[in-house]
Amino acid sequence: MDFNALLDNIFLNDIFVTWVPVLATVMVMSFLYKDNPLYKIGENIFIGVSLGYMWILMWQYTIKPFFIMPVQDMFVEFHFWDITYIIWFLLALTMFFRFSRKKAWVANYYFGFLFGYTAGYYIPIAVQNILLQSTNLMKPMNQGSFFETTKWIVIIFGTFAALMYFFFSKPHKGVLGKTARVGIVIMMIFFGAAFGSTVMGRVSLFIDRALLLVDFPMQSIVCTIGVIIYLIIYFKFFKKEEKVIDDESFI
Amino acid sequence: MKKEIPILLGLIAGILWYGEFFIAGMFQENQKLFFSNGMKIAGVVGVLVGVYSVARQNYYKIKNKNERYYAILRVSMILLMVFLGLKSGTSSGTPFSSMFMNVYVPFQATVFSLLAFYIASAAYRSFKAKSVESAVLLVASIIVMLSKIPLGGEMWGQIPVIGEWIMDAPSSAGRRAIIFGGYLGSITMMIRIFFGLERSHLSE
Repeated sequence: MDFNALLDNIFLNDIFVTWVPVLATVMVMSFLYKDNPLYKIGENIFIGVSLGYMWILMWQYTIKPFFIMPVQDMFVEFHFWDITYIIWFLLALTMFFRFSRKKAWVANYYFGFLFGYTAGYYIPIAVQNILLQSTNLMKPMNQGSFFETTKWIVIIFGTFAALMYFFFSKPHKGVLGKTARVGIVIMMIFFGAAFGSTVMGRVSLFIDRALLLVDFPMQSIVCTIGVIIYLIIYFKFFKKEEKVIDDESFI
Repeated sequence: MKKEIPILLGLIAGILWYGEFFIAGMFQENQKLFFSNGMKIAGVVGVLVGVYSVARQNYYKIKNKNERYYAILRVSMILLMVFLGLKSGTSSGTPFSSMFMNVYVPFQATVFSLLAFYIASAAYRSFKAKSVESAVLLVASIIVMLSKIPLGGEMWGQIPVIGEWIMDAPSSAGRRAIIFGGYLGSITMMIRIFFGLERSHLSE
């Protein structure tokens, strides 16, 4: 059998496509009881797969177009300008000196350039973004309806009040103190809203997982029973009780 | 000299970047290309450094019997994904994309969905309306949560409208202020790096 066809048979068949997601879901859910080896296996598979996935993407979108292809072109037709790739590559290789304790300073030259250049590049972008945010604030107060108008008033004065909370050049007393207090309330509303949105996002992910288990009932039941039996056996017979060190015994 | 010359190099590179706002011509174009090539190669070698770092960490874990079997499992999954990606490509319908859809996505979604339980339990213990500010936070979060589910609309028809107003007006104002603060802080940090006042990225 062709090797590619063999890989397709392993990774694209119905058993893989239906059992693996269910097993992965149940394995990770087992953490809700206690930390256990099944969860750790799942965790390490997740880390390994995500790292491998990222490396392949990096290979495709960074290493290949920015290094392999220019070097290949260099062998077809060499330009004097191509030397810059080699110079930069050799300089960038000094980053590996960071792994040595004694010679770590060699990497400073490259990191110095990298951070300085990034700082130079980033400052105009940050200033531009601040101006963009500020110009977005400057819109006519009358937004058509009362509801929309109140939104703009709250956004403008709320942003100002919240910024005043971070203004420490003057004591927070009088008008500044009251404005700063309004700023705290505004930020509390933001934190509350952010918390609510995050919780609902996580809950929707959980509903998605639950729907997956409903879609494959046989696999779900088998995997859940298997995981429960494993957890009972593991915690009953194999898990050693963690020793609690009594601090007073050292005195 | 182990720190001074690198800081000077960074300063020169940063100043040359600003040159494009004031100088036009061949020199400016060439130096821009020269430095942008440097940044691309930094990305390439950065990936190699990352690969080496992961390999090194896992090698020591396996060698020192520190969670050896988990490290072996982790490395074998990395190698499997790299092999599948290089062998069969990354387009949809390949073993690589099947691993992504059937292993990576379920694990990621389940790990993040687990956080719902821990966030809810932490919130139950810590959210107490002891002051005006904490009461505001509690009320805002409850309204936003209710506004995102059908139950909220069933309880009172105005809850979704109030939830939307909270997200659009006060929450947007708070977020904007924090974004302003973040940008100002990052500009300060970049200026500190630029002039060599911040040296934590350089080794001794």
